[in-house]
Amino acid sequence: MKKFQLLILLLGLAGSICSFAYIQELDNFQAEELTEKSTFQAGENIQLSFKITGVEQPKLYLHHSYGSTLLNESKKDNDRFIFQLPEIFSKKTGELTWLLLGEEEHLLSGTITIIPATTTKTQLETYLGPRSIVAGYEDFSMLVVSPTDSYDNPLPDSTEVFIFKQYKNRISEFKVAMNNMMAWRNMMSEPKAGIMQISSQVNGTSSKEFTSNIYPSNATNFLISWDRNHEYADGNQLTEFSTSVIKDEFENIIADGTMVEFLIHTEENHLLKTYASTINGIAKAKMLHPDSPQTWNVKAYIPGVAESNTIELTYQPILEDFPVKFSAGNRKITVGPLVSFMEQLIPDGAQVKLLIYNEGELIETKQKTSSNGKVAFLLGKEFYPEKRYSFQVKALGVTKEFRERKYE
Amino acid sequence: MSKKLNKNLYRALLIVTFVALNGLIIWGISSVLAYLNTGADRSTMLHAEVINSKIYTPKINWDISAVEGRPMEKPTLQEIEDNYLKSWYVRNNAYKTNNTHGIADFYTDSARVNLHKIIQLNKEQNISIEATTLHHSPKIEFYSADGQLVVLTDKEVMEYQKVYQHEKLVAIQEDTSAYQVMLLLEDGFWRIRHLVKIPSTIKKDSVQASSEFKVKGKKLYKNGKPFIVKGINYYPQDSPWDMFGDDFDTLVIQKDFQLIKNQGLNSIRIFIQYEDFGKAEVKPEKLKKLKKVLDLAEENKLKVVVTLFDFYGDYSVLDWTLTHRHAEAIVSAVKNHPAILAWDLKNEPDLDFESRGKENVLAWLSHLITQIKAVDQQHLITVGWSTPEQAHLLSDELDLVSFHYYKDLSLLENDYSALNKKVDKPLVLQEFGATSYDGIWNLWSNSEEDQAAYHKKMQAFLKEKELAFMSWTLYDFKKIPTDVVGRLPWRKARQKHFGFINSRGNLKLSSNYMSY
Repeated sequence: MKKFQLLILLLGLAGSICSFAYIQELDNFQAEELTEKSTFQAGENIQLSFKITGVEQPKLYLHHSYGSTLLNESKKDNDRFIFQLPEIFSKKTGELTWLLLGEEEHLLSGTITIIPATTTKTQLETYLGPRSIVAGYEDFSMLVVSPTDSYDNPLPDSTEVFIFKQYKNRISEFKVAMNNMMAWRNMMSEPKAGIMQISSQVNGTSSKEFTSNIYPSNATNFLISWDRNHEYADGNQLTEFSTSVIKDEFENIIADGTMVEFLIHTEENHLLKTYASTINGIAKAKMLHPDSPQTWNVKAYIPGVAESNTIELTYQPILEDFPVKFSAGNRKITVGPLVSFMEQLIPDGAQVKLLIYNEGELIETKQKTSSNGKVAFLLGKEFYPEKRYSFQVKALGVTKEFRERKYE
Repeated sequence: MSKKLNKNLYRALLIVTFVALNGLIIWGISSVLAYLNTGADRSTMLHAEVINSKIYTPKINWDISAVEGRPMEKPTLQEIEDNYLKSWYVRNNAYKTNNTHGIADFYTDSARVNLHKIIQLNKEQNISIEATTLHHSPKIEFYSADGQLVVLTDKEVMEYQKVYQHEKLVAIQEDTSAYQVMLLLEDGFWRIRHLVKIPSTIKKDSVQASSEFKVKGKKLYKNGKPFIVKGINYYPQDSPWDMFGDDFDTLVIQKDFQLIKNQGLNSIRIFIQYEDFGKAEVKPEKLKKLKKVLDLAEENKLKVVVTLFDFYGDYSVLDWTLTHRHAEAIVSAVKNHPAILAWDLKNEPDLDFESRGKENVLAWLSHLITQIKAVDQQHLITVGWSTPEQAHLLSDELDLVSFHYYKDLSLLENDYSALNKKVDKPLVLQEFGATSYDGIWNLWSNSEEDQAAYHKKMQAFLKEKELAFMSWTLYDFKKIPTDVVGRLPWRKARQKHFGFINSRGNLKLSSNYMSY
């Protein structure tokens, strides 16, 4: 009985706001909607009541956001039928269409609107992406906030959403209004690389903190320099090339591990390549000294992004001359000792070439590497049966010629 | 002697039992192996097998003119469309069967609980809801920069729902609603996160286009002058019920059309077989053939009634959208062709009333009318009812009322005037005829003379009533497909001899009475 009084009270209150009443007369039955309230809050106990005469077993068909169902009355008081909406319908927002069915006919139809329960605790779903952006004024992470009431209904449009952004010592706050079930904002990058932290708050409910990494932008052009132990073309030492500290246009040191490619043009028009990746903006790559005096042109690239200046590098000869001794009837040719710039024996492994000519024609090129500063070539009688040969000896960029030697 | 026989009997029994037992064991092992093998299909791990043929094709119009956040790319839109429509399909399917199969693929965790709860509720009450959506107009409101979230407003969702409780139809509801939807890209699926039904703001305005044919009262007018359809149902002699198949020959059709024209007729009725034309995805080569036929008809100044659905008999709500795409493809392909007179939606749908339910068939037809009018308001729409008793159905929505008549001629007068009283649309006697078959199956009781007499009488009646007609049919056919009248030889034999021209290509006596 108390419930009934409450219902009357409710009806009276709602009736002052809106007053829809549908009356339809059919042959011998009559139906009238008694519920005058047409807007409910999600989670509210929703009952639709009708005054129906002439129908034994009316049913109420409900069509809502997620689906439809059919109800029998939950309470009947003479010709007054009360239909109790199941929770799954009364908790979800949207337009709910109902249809009152008699045995054969549609008696009445109408809609009620269920609005989000803004008074309940707000739940937040937050999406931030992309989370890796580059420094500057163009890139951004997009924050999408989708707040719901405690029944998982999106809050109404123009609900205020607060967004906070921390970057280094600065904390900024933005206010965005919800539209289309969510609110969004592009969180712009900063010119200095670092970490940007973002959070949001709606109706006192806070999201967790999201992090977006601001990486340095693309490299700009840079300088290179060299460092070597000595300037001699000994084919043994290493020359180290290094870049200046490579930065982007906002003076951020570019990301570690950026690959730098060094290209070396030799005098013979050969192309040598060496690579290194950066650490703290500097890349260091090494290259073996040439084994003959020459000049290199070196330039470095970050392919497709940036390049360096060109440097010129000259290597000096390590010896002016070397002795060559013919023995064993000219069949053994000993080259050396090969002495370097301090009169020291050159390290093992220097290349020595012997070119053998017969009557002005090259018949063979022999190649050996030095050991203890010396190289010996043996010309067997079986392989070199001619009476006369002439020779050229090439080592470390020096060429010596020997006119015809006679053989038995 | 009898002892020996007994012994052999036992032996035989033993051997048979042995063989049967072995067979049983082998069958058992093989079915176990087959069962174990089914799990090994790798495509099932990747969801690659999920509904990949077109099973749900409501009309969908995208609006991507004002997308916030990030411009929408075409391939993504394609994927969203595919997943979004499937979300409706699995939802409709779930409400029909009260089984949540497939829901998980197209709804996120938090959204699917809502569906599960309602389905649970319906299951307990033994409620099942057959539903389909016929039209969607989604507008993309927002697309996030990382391509993982989309919000759309589907402004026009035409929903059709049939509600059953305890297997009894309780209500049919049809409405246009709007939904606001948030979708998230999860594991390669666009899944529904939020779904909110909102009031629809669509206002329909109907534009009546000018057309060659107009109906005023019970009369049909062509360019303002009264027009009486005098026609014939046409199939080529060698390819009955398969006009657009491999035997398609324009020379044959051209000759036939000339003959029809020379016999004083002005129209033909042709048939499109649903499966033959490719169902929802209509085959372009079939449309080409159809256009060719229309061109030939135009050349010979014949008007064409195109029967859109022949050999179709499903009508189930979830099949609707497929048939809508079929009709739409055909109608929009040839709607500007000058030879078209009318669309005949379905040949003799009333024959399916018993097996498929009258309500289902009528609802299907009624929605088909809406679909066709959406693409073509110029041409007339009719339905080829099999009897005059049923022909008043849907007459308010149709432009012409067509009926078939194979009963005895003496009853025609009454049947005709009864129908004429019931409807206020022009009538077309769309199929009639008599067989000249006289053979063993009907004890030599018919003859060409009888057939000629029938047509003579019929033409006299038609002339008296100024009734539009389309007779059945030009040729005697050599073979009748089983789908038409079944397997029974006496039915087939009868059906073979309805023509005005016999199987040797000569005009029969009845050909003197093809028109008035």
